[in-house]
Amino acid sequence: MAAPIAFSAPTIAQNYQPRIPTIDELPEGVGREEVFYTCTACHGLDVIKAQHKDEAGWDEIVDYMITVQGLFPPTPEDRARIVSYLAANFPPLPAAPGYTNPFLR
Amino acid sequence: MSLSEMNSAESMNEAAASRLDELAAIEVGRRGFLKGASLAALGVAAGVGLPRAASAQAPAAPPAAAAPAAPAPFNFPGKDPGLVSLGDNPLNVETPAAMLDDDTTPASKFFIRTHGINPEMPADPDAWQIVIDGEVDNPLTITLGELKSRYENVTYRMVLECAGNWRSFFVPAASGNQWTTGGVGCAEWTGVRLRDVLNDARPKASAIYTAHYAADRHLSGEADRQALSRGVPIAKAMDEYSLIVWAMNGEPLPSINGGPVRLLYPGFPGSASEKWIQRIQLREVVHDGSGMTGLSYKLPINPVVPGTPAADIDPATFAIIENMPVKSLITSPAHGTTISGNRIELRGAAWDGEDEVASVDVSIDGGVTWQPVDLQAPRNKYDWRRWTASVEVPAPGYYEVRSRATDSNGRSQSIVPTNWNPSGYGGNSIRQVAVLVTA
Repeated sequence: MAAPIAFSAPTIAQNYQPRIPTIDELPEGVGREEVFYTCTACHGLDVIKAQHKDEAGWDEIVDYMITVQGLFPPTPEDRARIVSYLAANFPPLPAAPGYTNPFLR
Repeated sequence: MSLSEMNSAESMNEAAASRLDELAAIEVGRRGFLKGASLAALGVAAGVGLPRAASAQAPAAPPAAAAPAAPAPFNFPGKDPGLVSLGDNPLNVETPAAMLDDDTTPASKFFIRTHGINPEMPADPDAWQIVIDGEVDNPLTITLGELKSRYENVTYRMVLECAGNWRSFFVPAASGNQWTTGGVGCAEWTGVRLRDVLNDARPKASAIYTAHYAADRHLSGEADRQALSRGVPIAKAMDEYSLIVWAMNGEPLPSINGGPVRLLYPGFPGSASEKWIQRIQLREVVHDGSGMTGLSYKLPINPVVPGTPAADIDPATFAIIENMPVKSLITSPAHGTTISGNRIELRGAAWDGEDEVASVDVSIDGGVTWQPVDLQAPRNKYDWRRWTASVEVPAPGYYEVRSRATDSNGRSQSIVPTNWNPSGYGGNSIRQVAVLVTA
């Protein structure tokens, strides 16, 4: 059963506008501006902060954004700053102790 | 950053800002909603920033002025504040397990999965048009109003689930929205059978796959780029439970869940069930739209070493997901509940893709022992099965209670996340709730 409010104010309920992120929502550091202006042209910061990757992993994400999602390719210098910033601030999660996968690189 | 690079970055941001202003102008012009709605009603927590529409009125909002974003209740008209947002742009919101305790998931608790810029609900939903074309002898353009009156209306309670549900349990972390277990719901969907409409378009023998085109726009705002354009094999499109739906639990389908009209392919990854559907093209090849290529919505045929970069994987070693795995959840008590006595009364749900849930067992000792639950019959294929169990505990103390569903082919939920893949699809590992039992 739907809550009445879902249909009592449809014009507002149906109209979603994401909020505009601000740069101070990202940790300070070299590459913060490049990340902010490159990434938030399209999407919010939550999806960035939810990923946990090393430099190779973040580099793969940049490739995905360029080849699949239409990101205008950053310069090599910007790309390096973006990747190192993201890997420094949103690194892989620590592995659970007690078991090491011998095949992980 | 050099000046030219800065300009490049700024021009991208300007393009985005311009798009936002355009959207805002439309909103203010059409609805004057800034007069009639508080910021809170717009889904914006105080202090975490201005909504896009408001930015048109206050373009000079300084970036440094906002306080750091604090966790806030999810705030969206028509949705329960207990839902958990995974991200606001694109908007993706999941349902905590304890909020899936209704036999039929209310619209207010139903998860949100969007890929792009969402369309607005039209003033006259019945005028919404859907085109059927491609490998057909009789291409059609039909309005929602005509769909409702021309074809048999059917209502089924069926599970809709995001392919990435359970993603956050993969190790190492997989890419994408970090869904825990809440990218799923089971609602009563009312609509018409897609096959009834397709048959009127007279599919050619060459039609082997559908291609869906919807009204949402790519986040970049580029018109020639699709936020999502998936398809299904023609046999699935012709299945009696594959629907074009306009109502959820007897009410108009909310826009954020695809209203006025969406597709519904139960058993398949939710992304195939495109929201805001405008065109269904029949194709003579497997569709290659957004979400159909590379490793998107595919699982390994040849299992990969966890952590393997997507670039090192040949997409030919992956297959398109056409069946969601068997799963179960404990929906009561909630994780972290303290109860007294010597029994834990459990409620939950179990569901499957193309197969049927045959049994559900629960354990309070990490799987050392299991006991069966009482399963309700499904209303129809693709409905979930609600279940209850009363578990006696040997002594007061701390318990982790686990549930494990098994399907009609004897396949159970995995004991640990398995079949790792870069985008984290297909997870169905056994979950648990922690319960403290006092004397």
